[in-house]
Amino acid sequence: MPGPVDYEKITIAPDPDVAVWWDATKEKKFLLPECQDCGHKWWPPWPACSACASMNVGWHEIEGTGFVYSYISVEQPILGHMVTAVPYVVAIVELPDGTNADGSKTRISALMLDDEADVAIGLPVKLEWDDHPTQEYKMPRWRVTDKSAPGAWHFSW
Amino acid sequence: MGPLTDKYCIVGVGETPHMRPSGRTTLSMAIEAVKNACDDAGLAPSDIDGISSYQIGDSAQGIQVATALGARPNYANDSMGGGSSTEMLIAHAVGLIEGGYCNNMVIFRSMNGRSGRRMGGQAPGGAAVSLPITSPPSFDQLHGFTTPAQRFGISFMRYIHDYGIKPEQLGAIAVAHRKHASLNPKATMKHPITIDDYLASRWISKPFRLLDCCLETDVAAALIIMPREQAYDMKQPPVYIMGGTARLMADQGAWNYSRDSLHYVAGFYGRQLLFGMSGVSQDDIDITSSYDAFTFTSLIQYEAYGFAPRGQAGEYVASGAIEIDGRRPNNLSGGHLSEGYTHGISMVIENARQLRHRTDDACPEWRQGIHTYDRSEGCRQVKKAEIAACLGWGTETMSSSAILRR
Repeated sequence: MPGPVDYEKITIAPDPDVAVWWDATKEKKFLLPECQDCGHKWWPPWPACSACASMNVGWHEIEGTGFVYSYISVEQPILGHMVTAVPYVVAIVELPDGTNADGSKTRISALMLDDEADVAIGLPVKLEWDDHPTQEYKMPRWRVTDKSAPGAWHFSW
Repeated sequence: MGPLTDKYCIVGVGETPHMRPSGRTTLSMAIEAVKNACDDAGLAPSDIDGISSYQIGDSAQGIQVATALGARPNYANDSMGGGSSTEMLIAHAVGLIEGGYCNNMVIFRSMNGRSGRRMGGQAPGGAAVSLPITSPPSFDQLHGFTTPAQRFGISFMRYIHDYGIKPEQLGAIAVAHRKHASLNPKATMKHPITIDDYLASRWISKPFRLLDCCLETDVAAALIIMPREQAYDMKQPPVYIMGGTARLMADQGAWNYSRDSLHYVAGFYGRQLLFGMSGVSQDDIDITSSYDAFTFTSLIQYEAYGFAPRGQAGEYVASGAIEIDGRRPNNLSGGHLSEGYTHGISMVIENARQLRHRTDDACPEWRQGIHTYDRSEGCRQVKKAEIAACLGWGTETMSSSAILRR
């Protein structure tokens, strides 16, 4: 298993573009920005729609399930709060309820709770939350829900 | 061809040694590199009329370097950016000189890339203090997902999934660039490596091993551009700028992982502009400098700029094409994988030296353009070096490029 993230070493200090997003985590809600003019959803929460350039931005709460699109396994820690966590897997997760009009699916970066051996491209994942020791915000984590799902591809170099 | 094709030239190049650590300021190193480039061209530092640099908040400014050297430039600017900035600033230089804003341009990069600010937030001594999570891009910091090895690894993992490249193919890049470094007296890592060495190197961030990753060094490097009419009076054979692209982007930015294919990188969008402006095709290119922050960044740009079919760059690099006596050698100085780290400018400088046929190698008369072409005697000069393609990389979604000729 990846070790614990040392959240004590990292502060959440949201700027105005992400304040709403972080406030929602207190209720364990994961929001995607959603254009109120054309319905497009995107990540990360830039303050304009990348499909129509509208700045009329709202929020869409995701169900918290998705599929691994790609991933890496970090062996050498770089940032202080991750020293205790290595080796850990960061995945890019494709969100079915982030599907857009052109058929594209919004993808997010996701810090996995699983060992590298249990992560593969194509596997289904679900959202969970870690607590922060000193702040009310919750920290999103993701977990594989079916390690034996068919069609999965695992890195084997 | 473009309206300015062949009208401007690189006339001088220079650098400091690659150091780990330098124990010097970026100002001191920048001054040395600019002076060396002036000496190479046959210019006095006070003749500098335009000065530009790129940095990431980690370096001295052009106005400081000009002041220290007693120059009074008509243009001075420092751009934000790392890899792919050199080719962008070459385009700026050509446009500014053509417009009459200045008569020549020095471009430099000075960085304590190992002992100072390291890419991805790592401190010189190891893991760094984690910065607060504030803006949209810093979500990746929360996830411990900030270094180039981590970020580019996502695209490469998907590439492996989509195309099935083998580790021995990717490793051919590390082996080839190290072979070139073994012929470069300036290179940091000169001892040759084998594919077995590559495969045995430790994981940094899967899918990247240690020998997939470039070096970090403290160094400054500079080059000088001027109109060809003036270039004829300089000490060195001019290297003509045929065309390029200037920090061109893919359709979605670096932090947006929703774009169609993560490995459909910016170069795919820049290929037609680069070759169209330059008036040549891939077949005309003798040498390349495909940016090697990682083996993968070099690999994918062969596909992006049309030197290998989509999904087949592994076969291209494993064929020996990128080695010094291959069809189209890449990064003949050893590149960032083995010579040292400059965010790209040293790759353009090496191409300029190759095109002059005055590569600074072990040949006693290299300054006169006399080479043995014997690799066992340390000759690094390529026999046929008429046209070079510089393929800069910033991220998957940002690239600049230039085609140069002798």
